[in-house]
Amino acid sequence: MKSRFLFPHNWRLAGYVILFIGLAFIGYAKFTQTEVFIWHNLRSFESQSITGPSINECFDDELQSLFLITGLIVIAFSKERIEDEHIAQLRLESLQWAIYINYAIFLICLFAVYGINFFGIALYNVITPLIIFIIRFRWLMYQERKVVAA
Amino acid sequence: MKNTLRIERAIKNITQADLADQIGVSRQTINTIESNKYVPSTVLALKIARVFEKPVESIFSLEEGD
Repeated sequence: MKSRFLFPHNWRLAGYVILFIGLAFIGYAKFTQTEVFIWHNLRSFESQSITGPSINECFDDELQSLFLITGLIVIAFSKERIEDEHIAQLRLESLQWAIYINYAIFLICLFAVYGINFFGIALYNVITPLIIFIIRFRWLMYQERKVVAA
Repeated sequence: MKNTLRIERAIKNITQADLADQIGVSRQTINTIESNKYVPSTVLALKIARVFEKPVESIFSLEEGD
């Protein structure tokens, strides 16, 4: 069976590398309290400064998000060594499971967290479906392979 | 759905890994079919039947509730 919309198997390692770079970047920026990539005199539409005064924008958080999301997407959606119909089914079931869990957690947070803290939750919610999916899928694969190896 | 995959394999004396290689699926897929956790697609069932040179119905059969 042809599986569409998946990355080649060996991309998964690259995904982990990209994710690691993202996490290391976040760790470094948090730990040293420094801004690494700053675009001086940026004029953007958002700040309505195309004609007015320019701003200095730190691109660290943008880059961190880019690394995190790209890494997680590639890890989540690269093929297994042998990708067949059964694994495709596991993949889809894990994805459905991840969406359920993600929204369950989100709904709980909706009523448990208020104010500026909720903004943080909403931000994390961008990557949690991918994280839950990866954990669930890898756990199922691990379980099945353990049975086969026994 | 029931299947006699394990028996057919024993008759032909091939392992799960051999069968998986011949039809291009993972070993865990053969394992889940044998333990009735996964119902293969028609394509996969036909491929399996071809390996054992038997009609699909002699390997896979419906059971009550299907």
